[in-house]
Order: sequence, then C-alpha cells, then structure tokens
Amino acid sequence: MTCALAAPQLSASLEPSEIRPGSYTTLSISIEGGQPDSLSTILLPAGVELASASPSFSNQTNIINGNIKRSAIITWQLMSNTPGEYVIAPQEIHIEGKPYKTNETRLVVKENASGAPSSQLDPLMTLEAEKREFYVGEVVPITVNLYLHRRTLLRRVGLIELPKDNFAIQRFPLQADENAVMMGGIPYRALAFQSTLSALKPGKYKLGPATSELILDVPLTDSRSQHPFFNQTESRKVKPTCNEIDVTVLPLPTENRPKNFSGVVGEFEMTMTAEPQDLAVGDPISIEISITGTGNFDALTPPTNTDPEPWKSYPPKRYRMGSSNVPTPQGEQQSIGYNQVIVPKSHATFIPPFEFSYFSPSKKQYVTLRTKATPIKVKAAARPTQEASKNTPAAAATVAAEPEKAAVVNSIITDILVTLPQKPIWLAQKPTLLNNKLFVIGNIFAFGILLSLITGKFVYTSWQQYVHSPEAPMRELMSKMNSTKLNPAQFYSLAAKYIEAKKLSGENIATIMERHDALNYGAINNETSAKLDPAERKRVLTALKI
Amino acid sequence: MNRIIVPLFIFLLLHAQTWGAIELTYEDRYNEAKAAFEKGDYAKTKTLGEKLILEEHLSPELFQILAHTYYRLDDYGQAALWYKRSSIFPPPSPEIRQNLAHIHDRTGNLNFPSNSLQSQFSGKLPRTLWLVLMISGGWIFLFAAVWTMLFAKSIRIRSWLILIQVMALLLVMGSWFGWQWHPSYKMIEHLAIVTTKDVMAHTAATVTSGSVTKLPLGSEVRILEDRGIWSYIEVYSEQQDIRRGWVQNNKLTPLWPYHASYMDDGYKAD
Repeated sequence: MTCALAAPQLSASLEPSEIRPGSYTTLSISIEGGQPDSLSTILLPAGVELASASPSFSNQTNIINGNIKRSAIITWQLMSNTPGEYVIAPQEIHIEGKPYKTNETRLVVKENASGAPSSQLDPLMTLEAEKREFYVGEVVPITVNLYLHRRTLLRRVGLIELPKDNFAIQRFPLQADENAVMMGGIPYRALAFQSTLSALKPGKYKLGPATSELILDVPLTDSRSQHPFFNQTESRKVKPTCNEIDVTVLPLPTENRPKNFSGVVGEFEMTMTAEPQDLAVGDPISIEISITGTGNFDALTPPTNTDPEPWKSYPPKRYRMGSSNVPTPQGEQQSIGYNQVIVPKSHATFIPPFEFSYFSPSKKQYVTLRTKATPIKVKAAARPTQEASKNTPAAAATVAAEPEKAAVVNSIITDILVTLPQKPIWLAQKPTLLNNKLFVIGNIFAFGILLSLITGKFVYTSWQQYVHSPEAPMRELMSKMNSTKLNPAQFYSLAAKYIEAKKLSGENIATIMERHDALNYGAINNETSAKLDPAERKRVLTALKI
Repeated sequence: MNRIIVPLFIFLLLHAQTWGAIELTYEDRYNEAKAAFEKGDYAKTKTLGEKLILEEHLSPELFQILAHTYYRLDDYGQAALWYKRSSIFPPPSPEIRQNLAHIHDRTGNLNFPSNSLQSQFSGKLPRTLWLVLMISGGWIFLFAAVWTMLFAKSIRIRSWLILIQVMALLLVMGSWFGWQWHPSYKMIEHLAIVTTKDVMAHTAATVTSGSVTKLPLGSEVRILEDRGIWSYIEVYSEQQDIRRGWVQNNKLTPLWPYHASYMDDGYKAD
C-alpha cells in the first residue's frame, strides 16, 4: 500500500452545461491530492448567479490498485435567467497556503438547451370562467388549471395573477384541488386554483392570461449526466403560458332601480329574528338579520328599517356567519349577519319589516327582500325614557353603580286621545262685519245716541246761557212791548223800564219819557186806556232798538 | 171599487219610493261616520267624512274624526293636517294639542313656533267676536267718557264712570289681542302640510339639486312662491331657524283650501 504524494489536481465542471433560462446548474470543483484551506467565494460572470449562498463540500477516498486517492469536491448551485453563453473564469483555491487554479468552464443558457426537458414535461396552464357574459358587480367563479407532467415535481407555485384593469379579482389560493388526468395518453396532475371576479364597468374585455412562476424539478434527459441507478432532476423556474378569454360585461339596468340599491348583485335570502318580543317602551330589542346567498357581499349594506320614526336605532354590527375565510367556490353560499339594537320610543305592536335590494342576474331584474313584521307587545314604560335608554347595550357600560336619583316624570304619549264630539258645528260662510246688517245698525244706533247726547248737552248749555244772560230782562220787556193787547199807559210804562234798564238817552228817549209821564202820571183820560196806535208802537220800538 | 183601489195603490207605490229615498241629514251622516269609527271601520269613516268635506260641509268635529281615522290608518301626515284644521276653530282643545304633540314625537315633523298662551287665549272666541267685543268696548269707553265730561257732576258718579272707562279700555285691548292672535285666513292661507313620506327641501327646483332639510310627515311649511310643480317654501328647522328651499307641490296639502269666509274673521272674500 503506497501513498501518492503528488501536487494537487484541480478541475472544474458544470453539470449540466446547457440549461434553460431560470434553470439551475451545479459547478463542481474537484481537488485531488489536497484539501482546500477554506471554502472561498467564486467569481461568476454577469448573468450567472448563485442559487444558494454557501457551497457544499464532500471528501472522497478511492483505492485503485493499492493506490489511495483522496479528493475533495466543492459544489455550488448556479442559475441564470438570461439566455447566452457564459464563461466562468478559472477559480483560485488555496491548498496548504498555495494558490491553485481550476480550468475555465462554459455555461450555455438557451431555450432549447440540451439539458432542457421535452415539451411533454412543460407545465400547461388554462383559464376558465363560468360565464362569458355577466353583469357589472356580478361575482363570477374563475378557475386556473395547472397541468403538470407526472414525471415532474412541483416545488413551489408562485401567486397566480390576472390583469386587474377592469375587474376586481379575489386573490387565488395557494392550495389547489388536485386530480389526475390523461391528455393525449400522457398522465398529468391537474391542479385547479379557484377564485372569483367581478367586473368594474360594462364593456367587452379580454380576461387573462393568468401568470405564475413555478419551480419544477424536471428529470434530466442528457444521457451523459444520467446516474446509473437514480433519476437525476434539475430544478427549473418556469412561467407557463396561458390562454385569454373574451368576456362581455353588461351594465345594470337603470329601470326600476330601488332607492336603497347599493350595488349588490347575486342571489340572496334574508331572515330576521328579534328578542325580546314582550317589553316596555324604552327597552332594547336585539334584531338578528342574516343574509345568505351568492354574490358580491362586499357591497352589502345593512338592511333598512321601513318605518324608522318610532324607533331609536343603534348602528348595526356586521359579522360573518360560520368560520370560513376561504374564498367561496361557485355554488357554495355565504352568510352575513347583522346585529342591531332598536328601542321603541313609543307604543308599538310590531317590529317593522327590514328590507334590502339587490340585482338578480338570473331573473335579470332588481329584487327587494323584506322581512315579515314581527308582532311584539310593548307596555308603557315604568321609568322615564332617560332611564330606559340606559338599558341599551350602548349605554350599559356607562351605567355603573350610580346613586338612585328621583326620576323626572316625563309624559310618554303612545297613542292619540280619541274624542268623538256628539254634535258637529257646521261652518257656514259668513258675511263680513260690514255686510252684517245687525252690526251696522247697532253701530249707527250707538253713534246716533252718542251724537244726540253731545248735541243735547250743547243745546241745553246754550239755552241756559241764553236764558240767564244780562240781556234776558230787556228781551222780556221788549217781548212784552210787542204785545198788541197793551194800552198806551202799559206800553209806555214798559218802555220807561226798558230805557231805565238800558240807561238810554237822547231826544227820542226824552220824548218817550215825556209821553210816559203824561200817560201814567197825568190826568186820566180816554187815551190812557185806548188802543195803542201801531204806528206809534213801531216808532217807539224803533227808537228803543237804536 | 177598482176606481178607488187602483189610484190609491199607485199613490202608495209612488210615495213609498219617496219615503225610501229620504236623504240623511248632515248630522245623520256625521253620526254614521262616527259610528263607523267606533266600530273600527276606518275605511268607511274616511269615505263618509271625505264625502261630507267634498260637499263643503265643514265642521271642526268632523275634522277631528278624520284626523283620528287617518292616524289609525297610519297616515300621520293627513292626521296632522286634519288636527291642525280642527284646531283653527274655538274652543281650544287640549286633546288636539296632545295628539299633535304625539304625532310630532312619532314623525319629528317641523312646525312654526307658536305661543301656547296666545293661541289658548285667542282661541276662546271666534275672531269676529273678538272684533265685536273690541268695537263694543270702544263704544262703552266713548259713552263713559262723554258722560263724564258732559253730564257727571258728583265725584262719586265721575269715579264710577272713570272705572267704567278703564274697564272698557281693558276690554278693547284684550279683544284687540284676541283678534290679532286668532288665526285668520290671511295668516294661514299660504301654510301647507307635508302629507307624503320622504320629502326633502331642495336648493333648486329639481330633485338632483342639493338638499336643505328633510320634511317629515306633518311638517308645516309656508309657501312663498308657487312656480309650476315646485314651490319655494320656508320651514322652521330643528335648529330653531328659518330654512328656505324648493319642494314639489304634490308633496304638500294646503292647510285651508276652502273659502276664506268660513274663517269668520271678516276677511273680504273674492
């Protein structure tokens, strides 16, 4: 047994030396007759990169014809995505402090590389949509089928993606339903990735192609690198091609669109339960509404109360019924629940229906679902509303152990007060007051009386003043003198009194006074008692009035 | 014998038809509507009441029954309308005020502010009577004043007359306020009630324009301008301020669509 102590022999090799873009190759540096000082890094040309950061190292000992040969092998996993021919420069390895160089190697990266698998080993990808014509917002199931040759091994599936320009597409799952299929006599594993999409706007569009990046272990077909006992494979990064689908997106009709339509498209059912159903005014009622069906639940809004006035409503809470977070496959229904607390503000005999509207693609029309009115018994509140409202869940947290306060009694009217008058008073078209004869006559009468009173008083006062004035005796004397029954003595006696009262003087007055004296104080004769001559009377009266 | 029997038979036949066709008086029809309401036949009550109204047989009591009926039929807008029509006429009814308050609680309708004391006081008498009282008080004052000035000599009588003048003056002032505060045709001729659900006042005469305020059932609006199918209205908002906007006419019902002379306020009708 001899031990060969020759200089170390270094050789570098690539296996395979031809790969497809994205595939891997192994760079092996074999050192015979020595051990490397360290696993130093290697120099690689641009376009070639390390698939793993650290190399693997192995030792081999061979005894041939009594000669012992020790060799070390360092291997790196390399990969390249860009087609081309690359020269990997000689690598420098230090052995016992001395540098040694390997030979250079060549790597060819091309689509039809000799180390590439046959076309049968290529994965296939197809895109399927359940409908080619559907409405805006309608949820349409789509499936991406991945067909893998049975001789290949799928290491990893990248995220399957579709162009999202005109569609909202739910994320594809990483797990798929797997089946075995035969196509053209070749066995394939079929992986079905299911998702849904809904169109954002109407029009004709192309859906797809779907893209994904796979890492496959593909068996090597190069006979030079075939292991005599084991099938050798190489890992490849593959982007399978996929088909496109022409789809037509229909707009939602504008006719008969309900007011509360929020864009929900699909097929749904709605149920409602309420507890309690025997309560007092101000007590909370818990409403549970479940909506089950298929469609775009994302656009779902809480069902609305059809008669909200008599109720105090708290914001509804949405929750998913069941624990499934997996995208819903076609035909499988989802259920969304809403919990809402409502409080009767007054007497009520039933919980009003709740409703929500959606567009049904199967019926091609809008549908409004409405729950049935739930009969309830509502008693008058024993406590005022303020107190009652504290019983609601929203306020319950704030109702800590507060000291009992005297409640302020607020009247809570729950119904109208019905009074039915026994006898109606019929309204009649009445004339205006100015056309009302009684009113007009009454006012004229009152005015007349008032005017009479004022006038009478005025007349009476004037008369009194006239009667009691200083001229009154003279007016009386003059009046008496105008009497035709007077004899001359009487007439002149009155005239003398008048002259004395008015203190008249003058020639005529003196003549009158002489005549008076003659008649009343002279000798009695016939003239005294004779009738007064009217001409004389007139002459005397004229003299007195001057 | 036949000469007597045959004409008698014809006479009875004719008069039997006449007797059978005796028309019910308005009171009978009112009582029929009332009886229907008491039996819960609200549809019949509504039909009978509306027929009387259509024939312009107006009565505040009939308005009340119609209001009760509409409430029972869950038409709160019409119920508020008829209660308000009934409340125009004296005497003031606490029951109607309570029912209107209840409808307000249920619908949250908007109403112009009203002074309860004023409306209760002025509602004691018809508006015309307030005017007659005011004029009568004026006459009493004038007579007493004239008597005091012209005839009363003794202090005692003058004192009594001055007291009468003061009382008459108070009567005039009170009646003036009663007359002034009492709803008149002029005061309500432009008022309308919202009788349709989901009414919104808009910023322009189109439904696509901006919104001003919701107008719940039974809300009171004052029509400022009528322009085709839209009206420019004002309403007293919950923020205790006046809001103005446009509302479609078919959403509103005038508070008093009948002749002004029913209002007995001396308004000079056309």
